Amino acid sequence: MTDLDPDIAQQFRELANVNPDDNWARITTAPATVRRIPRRKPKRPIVLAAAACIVLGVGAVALSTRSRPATIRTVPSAVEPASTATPTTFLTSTSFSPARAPESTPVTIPPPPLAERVSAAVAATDRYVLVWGGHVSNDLDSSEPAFNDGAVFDRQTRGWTATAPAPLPGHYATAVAYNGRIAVANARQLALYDPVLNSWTTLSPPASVGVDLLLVVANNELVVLPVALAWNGTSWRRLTAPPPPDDNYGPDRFVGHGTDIFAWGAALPTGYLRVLRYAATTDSWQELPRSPLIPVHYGTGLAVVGRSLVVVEWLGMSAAVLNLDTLEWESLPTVPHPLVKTQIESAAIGESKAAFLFNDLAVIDLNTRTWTIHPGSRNMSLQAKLVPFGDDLLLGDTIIPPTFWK
Amino acid sequence: VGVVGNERVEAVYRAQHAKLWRSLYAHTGDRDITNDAEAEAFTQALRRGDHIDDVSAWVWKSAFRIANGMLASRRRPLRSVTIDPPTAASIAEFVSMLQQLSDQQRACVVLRYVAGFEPSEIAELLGTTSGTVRVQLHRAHESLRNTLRLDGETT
Repeated sequence: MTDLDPDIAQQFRELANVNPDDNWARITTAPATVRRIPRRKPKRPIVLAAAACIVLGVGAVALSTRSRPATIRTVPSAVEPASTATPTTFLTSTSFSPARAPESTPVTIPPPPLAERVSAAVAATDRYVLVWGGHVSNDLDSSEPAFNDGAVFDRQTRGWTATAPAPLPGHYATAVAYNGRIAVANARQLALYDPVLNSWTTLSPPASVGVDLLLVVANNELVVLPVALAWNGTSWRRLTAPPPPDDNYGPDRFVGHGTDIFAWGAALPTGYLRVLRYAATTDSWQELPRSPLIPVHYGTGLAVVGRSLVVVEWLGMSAAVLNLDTLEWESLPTVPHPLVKTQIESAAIGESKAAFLFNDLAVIDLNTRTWTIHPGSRNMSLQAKLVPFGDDLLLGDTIIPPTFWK
Repeated sequence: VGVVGNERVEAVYRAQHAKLWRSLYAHTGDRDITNDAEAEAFTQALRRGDHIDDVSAWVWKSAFRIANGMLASRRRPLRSVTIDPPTAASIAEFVSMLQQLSDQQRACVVLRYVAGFEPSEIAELLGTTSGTVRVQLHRAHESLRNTLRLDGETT
């Protein structure tokens, strides 16, 4: 510590006086929950075809109607990365990764014209991308000023324009597209942005939305979670709330799919193995069978693709798929990815593929049970987002400019 | 998991636990996250057993990444540091002061001055370069120096 000021060095030395808690008994008694499930194996010819289609950007639709193979003949092997080239211009801020566009490489779009910030919210309609809110630094503090400005990218003009000031500050900003408009929220308030009119409308739920709220769209309603308030465009109604958490954390990730909402997180040490499904048709929550992934705190990725639910985890790169009709889990090949990202963003592509953002973009084709890795996002921070954008995927960093945790 | 794997992991725990725990505590400012991250990393190491070449490096890297994941997932202001009997108030204040640093600066100073790693080793653990680590250490030092000076002026 000779390079430190003496008083600072003394402070570090005093940390040696802290008595650590002994965790060994807890470690050795933790349940071994890794379960082996027989893999369903694809026909080999599909493997290369699927990989080539993704690279060429025409795979999502072309393979979406292909039925799953009925017989098992070969053991699937993970495909090599589609390219090992390190991109230099990809994702300085925000970019497309086309799922079926004719381009063979991702298309980079200019960075949004916004001041430096972290944790901006991003959501996209078929035509517009909104980047909004955020705050100054990573040291989250409720007293820290937050941004209420944003910018909109129009895929037709391929340019950004500044939004009108939002009627709420962008602390803990979150956003989701809803019927051509984009709903945004901070920790306590909601508003709706119309990208065509460049106008904001404040939304006033009939009850407190609490803190740490999240937004999803399900059953053609905007749903505020975990308080479970739904807005159909004209009126609010209260839904059955998710079951109370087993500990202080609670389900903290939600995804809407059709008339269902899927929730996961919470309940250490197996929280990310628990997946809850809300069915609007019965206004009830159901816990799905536990996934066979290794128990890892924080950062499991989940995507709902057609009638399948795909989960991955970052620690062992294991993956599994749940058939939502039979509620049977099946192990998938381990993600062939050398890097890790502890917050796994995820999105569905069409009816047969799911994308997970580790540091690169990993796409699994459920028809062939094969992974394809698309290099390109290694310059993004842990706050990078993966957002469906029409038929494309939008990869964007919510740290502007993205200089943190490269 | 073989017995050999168990013994390797336990040996690493006995040798590294105190330093790892204190480093995680200084980094997160939260005993619960510290315990969870350490336990998770060692539990996973036990499950992998002989498949891990360097248990020590694997556990350090995983524990910090797990802790960072927990911090990043906690979408609310950082909780204040719990000042419990085993932790003196002055130490808790210093840990609180560390939380004012950016995540990367804090990880760098903790791994350097609590765990005793060299910048090249820190770079490997955090997935960055030695140059970046040195820059972050310098900036963190400046920030801590300014904070201590301001505290001295106001007390």
